[in-house]
Amino acid sequence: MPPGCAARPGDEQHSAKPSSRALSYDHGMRAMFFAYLLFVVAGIVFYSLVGALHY
Amino acid sequence: MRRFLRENSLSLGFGVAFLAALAGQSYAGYLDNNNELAAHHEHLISYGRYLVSSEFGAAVMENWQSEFLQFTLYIVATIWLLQRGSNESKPLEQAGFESDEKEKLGAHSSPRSPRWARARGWRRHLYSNSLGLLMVTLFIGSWLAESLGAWTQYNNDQTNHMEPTVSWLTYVGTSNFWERSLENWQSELLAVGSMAVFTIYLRQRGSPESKPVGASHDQTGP
Repeated sequence: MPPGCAARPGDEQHSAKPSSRALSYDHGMRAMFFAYLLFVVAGIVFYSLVGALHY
Repeated sequence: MRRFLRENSLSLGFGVAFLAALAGQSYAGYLDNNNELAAHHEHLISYGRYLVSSEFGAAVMENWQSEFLQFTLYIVATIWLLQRGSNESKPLEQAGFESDEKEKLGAHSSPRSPRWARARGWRRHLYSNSLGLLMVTLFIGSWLAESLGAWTQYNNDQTNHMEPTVSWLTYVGTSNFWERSLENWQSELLAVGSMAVFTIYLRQRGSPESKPVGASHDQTGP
């Protein structure tokens, strides 16, 4: 689980069970984390291969 | 949707600006590369071919590696190194890894703490250093990618000048590689040092990168 993936503070103060709406916002946070991570890793791997293969 | 945009505006804003700058770099680099090819009476290449070339890859990775180095050093060095009065420094008495209580680890964690912060042993240790570890991995990876692209570029130049090509290991010992690396590192290190000292006396209202406007000059940390 990436850092900060717990429910947002304040979202669920009145309920023990997170609402689907709050969870969808958590998904947004998680999507940003993985979008950046995957883009950077893909870029590094891709251009390592391009260089290594003398392209 | 509105709430999503607001809650993620920092990463979305920088992501869009990054893609625009990358597109601009790639197009300008493509034109410049073709000008050089034309000057040497060589075949011009398409924009698509330039995007998957070692020339473009090395240029992009050269800057990525120095940025990841900058943040790796900033994250790790600020554990121990301090600057009195700086927003970027911890208070002087808090140098080091700090207590489990301050870091909300183990018995001091809350039900909302990440699972691995509540765990014991290697999982807690790994998660406690996960940001620094990721940054150093990305730095090493992008530096390696830069070296491979620049090596291919260097050997292409050698071939064009009827000179012998070199191995990757030989290339990473050349002044060409170190000049490319160090020209970026020096600017990143200067920017970090400047940021650390400028925040002692100067303020930016509303920015988390600044102390509150009315904070005293000798207040260390946000």
